[in-house]
Amino acid sequence: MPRRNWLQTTLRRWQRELAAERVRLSGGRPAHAGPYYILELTTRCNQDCRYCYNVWKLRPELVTGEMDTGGWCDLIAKLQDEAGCRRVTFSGGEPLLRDDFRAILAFCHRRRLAGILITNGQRLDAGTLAFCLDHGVDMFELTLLGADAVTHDRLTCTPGSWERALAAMTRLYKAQAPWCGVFVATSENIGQVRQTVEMLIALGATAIMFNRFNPGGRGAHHLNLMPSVEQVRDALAVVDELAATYSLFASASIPIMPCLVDTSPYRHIGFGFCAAARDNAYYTVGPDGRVRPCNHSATVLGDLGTQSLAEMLAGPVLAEFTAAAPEVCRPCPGLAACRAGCRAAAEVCFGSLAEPEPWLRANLDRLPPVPWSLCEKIVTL
Amino acid sequence: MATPDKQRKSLMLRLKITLVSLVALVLSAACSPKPTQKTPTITCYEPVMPTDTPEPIVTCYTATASPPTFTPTPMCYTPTAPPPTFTPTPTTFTSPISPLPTPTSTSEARHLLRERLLTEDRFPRDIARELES
Repeated sequence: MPRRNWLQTTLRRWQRELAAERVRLSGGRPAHAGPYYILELTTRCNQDCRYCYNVWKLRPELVTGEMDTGGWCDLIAKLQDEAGCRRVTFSGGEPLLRDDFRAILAFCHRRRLAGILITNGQRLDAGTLAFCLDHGVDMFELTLLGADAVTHDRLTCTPGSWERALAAMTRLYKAQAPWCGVFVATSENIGQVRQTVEMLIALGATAIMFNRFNPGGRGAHHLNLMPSVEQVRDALAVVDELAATYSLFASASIPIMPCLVDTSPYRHIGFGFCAAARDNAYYTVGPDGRVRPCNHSATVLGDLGTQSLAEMLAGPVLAEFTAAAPEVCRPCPGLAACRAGCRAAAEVCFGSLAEPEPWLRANLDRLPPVPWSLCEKIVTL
Repeated sequence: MATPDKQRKSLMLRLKITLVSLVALVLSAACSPKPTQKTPTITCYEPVMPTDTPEPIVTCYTATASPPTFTPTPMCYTPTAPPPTFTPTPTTFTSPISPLPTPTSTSEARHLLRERLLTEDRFPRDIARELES
């Protein structure tokens, strides 16, 4: 019926305008931004990924132990009571390796906390999935590193991990659960980005995360896995095309510095920069209860067992973390937003927050003579 | 901080949407000879921001308003990516007049993709069997 079509069209157009208006009113950020809290329940993992960023794989002394069930429940209650936390992200290591995972999740559910589960899927069987869905997990994050077992398993160093990850994704698809498919782009697998993301979409992924390999943890020993600028640029074009075709929420969460790649052509991908100390920060609580600015960082802000989060966030350590920048980036007008890429990667790989982060350092000779024309576009963030 | 002007503009937009929604509802009920089409099952979700890596920030590029005003910014190098096909439609967002997300019509496209990948034997046999069941 033409009249009805006209009304629907008008209504949808106004909805789009309002959505754009909401983005502008919120300063260009999603209105429901964090902060978020990542709980690294354990250092243990059933994979041995070469790209892994877990800091304890490079500096084991950073984690002094692993809290028991009661310790985690007390800490979660404290986060909720003191910081108003409404959602927690379970990570590790592999969080499903904890025997008390269900007990911790049930505790969160009783306190009406929503959950995100970051898992490699190896232990996400039907029973665990059903329990998670019944107890407030409303997003799962699983990684697929290639379109074939050889590519995926070579990066995880775990035979059979590709098939087990696909099996878990199939369970999520069958259960119609919301999940995000993660593609970690390395020099070894980036050529398969289209085939891999297609598989994620076919398996019902509701969001796609394209993360360039960000060295840290075990990954700091494998800098050769870093993709080139051209490879990232070409892969972003593929992800952008697929996101548009399938109306996917796509994001590139590891910083892609605009002086290296102009991200403006990729209009269907959300690009993120370092979130530490911002509204959308994702403070990370390690297995021993100590807090870091993010899950890539080795900087310890304090111990949540003995200090308040507010005390840590107001302290000098976080201020120093966010203020650091390499000399080459100091004149850049976009520095405040870009933060010169990932400070944590620079800290972990080169021992100083003021060093250029690994991907920038590898491409210093590629910086345009006048790089700031691109960086100016993010000044207002 | 939103200015009073922006807030008023946003409020007016919401009022307009509410008004048109009511009109659409009345017309649909009055003019349709058969029951209106069933609201499609919501397949999208309110996008929960994944948090294992930095939270995506919608940059000034993605917030650009409409196709006619889009002008490529001069770049310091020759871009290798193809010229962008500008599609201003957001992927998902919560409707201001309903708590449900705006439905997207991608299930058929996904189904076709799944069929193609199954035909090309891209999945291991067990997974393919599970997907086909």
